[in-house]
Amino acid sequence: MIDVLLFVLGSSLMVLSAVLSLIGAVGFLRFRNFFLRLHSATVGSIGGGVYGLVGLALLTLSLDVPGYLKYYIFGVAIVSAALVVFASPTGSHILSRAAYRSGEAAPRPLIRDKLKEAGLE
Amino acid sequence: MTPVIILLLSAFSAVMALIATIKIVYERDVLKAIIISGVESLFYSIILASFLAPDLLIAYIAVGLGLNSAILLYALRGGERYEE
Amino acid sequence: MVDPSLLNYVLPVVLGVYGLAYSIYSIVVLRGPTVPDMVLALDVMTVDLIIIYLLIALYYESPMLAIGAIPLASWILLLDFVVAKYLLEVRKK
Repeated sequence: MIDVLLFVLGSSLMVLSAVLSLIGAVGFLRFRNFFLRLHSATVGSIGGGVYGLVGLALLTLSLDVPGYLKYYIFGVAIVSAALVVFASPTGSHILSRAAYRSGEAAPRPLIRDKLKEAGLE
Repeated sequence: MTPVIILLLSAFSAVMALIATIKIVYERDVLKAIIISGVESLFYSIILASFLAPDLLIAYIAVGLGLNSAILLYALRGGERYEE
Repeated sequence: MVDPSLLNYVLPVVLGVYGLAYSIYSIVVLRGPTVPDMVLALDVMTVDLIIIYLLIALYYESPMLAIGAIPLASWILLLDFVVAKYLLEVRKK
């Protein structure tokens, strides 16, 4: 009984995660500059990656396959989810800080720049 | 249904790897060329995965993606970014 | 235990939608106007590619294919760090 529940939960998480990943990809095409694309990068990597990895781990755990295959893929999915949770927001912060300070990506439709007013540029 | 999707994915990756190679040849910005060469390694790695070659896949990811980009970016610090 | 033949209903849908998202990201990587755009799209494309590897390994029932996902996941932070350090270093000069 618990296996059917795990299978349904895992497959619905995977379908949700695939749709979120497609939404993030469309956002990359539609937004105008780098600092707006950070939002869709978060949707694509946390919503589209971590949910899918957890769902894949749950789905693999409920199948009727040999043990070495089942627990191997389960472990790799959980370790990859932990690495992505740690690495993706850290990398986005480092990259946006470097892009602002070096002037590589200019925030083009700009109303007011509070970092420049405070002298923290 | 599933093998058709896997074969379509690897065919798309092969076409994009060809486009990336042509783009590297005509690129004037060396930093962009290094990043696109990393992307090209990523395209080749999905072809290796879909044709069941795990040993080549591990070596290609560790060397062609990680070490190559890091060493080339470290070497670019002493040179010019734009070439004429 | 659930019969593994039920995967034939789930796997093509998920793999197709992830493949569509992967193709859009790969177009953005090659087209992106500035360098941080390309690196950011490369990060998200790597996360998609991890899931595609694990699905291919689950379909072929070959667990050795899945080990390539862990160095791929640790490569995200490495590339971001190296590119950011290069950009800040060049500006200081």
